[in-house]
Amino acid sequence: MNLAILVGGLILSLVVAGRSAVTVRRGALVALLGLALGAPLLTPNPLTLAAVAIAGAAAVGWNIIGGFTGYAAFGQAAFFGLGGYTMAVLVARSTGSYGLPAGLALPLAGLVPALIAALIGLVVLRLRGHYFAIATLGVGIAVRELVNNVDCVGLPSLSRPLFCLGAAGGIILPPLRRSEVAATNLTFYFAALGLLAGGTLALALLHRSKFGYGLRAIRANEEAAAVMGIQTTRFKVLAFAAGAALTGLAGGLQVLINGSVLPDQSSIFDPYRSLEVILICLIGGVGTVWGPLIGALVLYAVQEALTGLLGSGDWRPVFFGAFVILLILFLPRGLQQFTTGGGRPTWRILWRNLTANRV
Amino acid sequence: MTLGEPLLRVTDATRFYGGVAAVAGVSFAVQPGEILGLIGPNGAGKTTLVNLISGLASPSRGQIAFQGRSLAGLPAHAIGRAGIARTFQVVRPFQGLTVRENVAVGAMYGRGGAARTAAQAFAHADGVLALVDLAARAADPAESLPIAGRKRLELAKALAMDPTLLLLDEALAGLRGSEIDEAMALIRRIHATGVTILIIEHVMKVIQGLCSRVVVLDYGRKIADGAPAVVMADPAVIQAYLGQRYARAHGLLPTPDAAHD
Repeated sequence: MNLAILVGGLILSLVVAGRSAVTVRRGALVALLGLALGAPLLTPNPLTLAAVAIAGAAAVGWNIIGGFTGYAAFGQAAFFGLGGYTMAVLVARSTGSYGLPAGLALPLAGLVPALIAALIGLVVLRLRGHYFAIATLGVGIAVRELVNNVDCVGLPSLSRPLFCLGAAGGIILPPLRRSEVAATNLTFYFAALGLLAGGTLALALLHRSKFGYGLRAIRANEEAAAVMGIQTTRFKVLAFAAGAALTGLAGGLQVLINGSVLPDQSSIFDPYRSLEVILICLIGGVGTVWGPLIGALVLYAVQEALTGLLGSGDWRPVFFGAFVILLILFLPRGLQQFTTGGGRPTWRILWRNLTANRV
Repeated sequence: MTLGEPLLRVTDATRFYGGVAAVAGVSFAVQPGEILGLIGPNGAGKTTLVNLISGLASPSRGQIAFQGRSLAGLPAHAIGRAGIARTFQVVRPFQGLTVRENVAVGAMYGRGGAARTAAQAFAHADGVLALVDLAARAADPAESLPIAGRKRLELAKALAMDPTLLLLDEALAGLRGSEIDEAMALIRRIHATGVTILIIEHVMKVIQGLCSRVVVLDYGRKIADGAPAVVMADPAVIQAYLGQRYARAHGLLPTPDAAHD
């Protein structure tokens, strides 16, 4: 059933993002929203769909810096994790945490990663190309190791610590009552959906805003952008921070669903998250408004289908490695090339991409 | 700016790359309303000088002042917003944006940019596209233009910034005969709107046709500065740049036959 919902959503979003008549696209958008709102009625567990929306929202964050601005960040997991830990510290009721309601804590799960990203960005955004990619890869690992090894942080003058990250023990959120679970899962789904919808709307507004044009000019040629009056450093830092905020919000939501943050390989800092956001944008179309949504639907639909066929095993890395190579060879601009390619036959688009001059 | 003060004053501008002075102690001024030519052999430092003025490089020594204000320490974007626009010798269209969007970026962030909304910037861009005769290609991807179109787009991007001073770095290089005439007419139209222009060009017909004054660089140093006819008859300029054959063909030097008369 989940697979059917994902595929249905995918077809509708491809129509919305495509070049059909405006009325058709509006109709598809309404149908897409209807499907998203009605999906919990069709599925036994809305949390699996919430995971898709969270991945999509995190990818929207990457798309701002990696897609629009052209700075391929390989450490987005750092901001996903920072958002998650911020949420945990604010919501948990143990020592060094604040016991806030989740709704109040959520904005800070975006704000804290954004501020940290701004500071990191001032340094790493001076690098370009491979150097920037490697630096962000390092940031992703360093932030994870730092957070995973911090227990409590405080000031000597205070009797209580400012915050506790629990080091190897992590942070456990207050458990839900059994009677709350179903309603809460529904809330999580709609929160994740709202994040993805809000993120996509933000991309649409960014796409046609002065700020968005500034970012796209930087992506195309940073020196030419600078002499045209664009404050390149400020723009890049803002884009990096805005992207971190969205990815951080997604991380915060993920921690509420998980009920804990634990410092192990599959933790909230899972480095796979850094690759997943890029893979999603590659599938859907890097630097496009609908790319993250389309990519997340494809990736999770494929995952769902393959899990049905192969069971849940270690095939994931092998499969996605091959997937990335095929994408870059045949569809470097993502699936949307089919819907915006002016109705050329499929094989011709694929062949032209393969033989086109590559930089 | 007081009357008679130059729009741009370059004083002793020097820029070293490693141990080599790409520009060495160059001084000149650009008067409001003029079209100043900047010529010299390849590697003479012309583009470096434009980079110094537009803020892409900073002088190792010397001063550059625009409208009486020093540009020292100003980043490129601040210089662009102050009213100095430039084109690049190797054109740099913003790939992934349409022709119209490329020009609109200049209208959004140039001298008049802060006061414009995105929609106003697009309206301004449409006017510039009409001026440079690219309106028909407005919706096309920038990278789809042929070379002459890309040269005009480069000009349009700079023009959309409402510059007071326009720096043209070989904006006509690579154009064919009729295209050069059209481009010269376009530069005259731009000049007629009140824009002061500094133009680097190798085609002497362009320099003679447009410029009221010419500065000549050689090995990073200024070797001449004056009216085109005077500068081009200067033996140092002929020696360094124009060559004996060019000078004879254009009557700047006595031909061997003429010497017998």
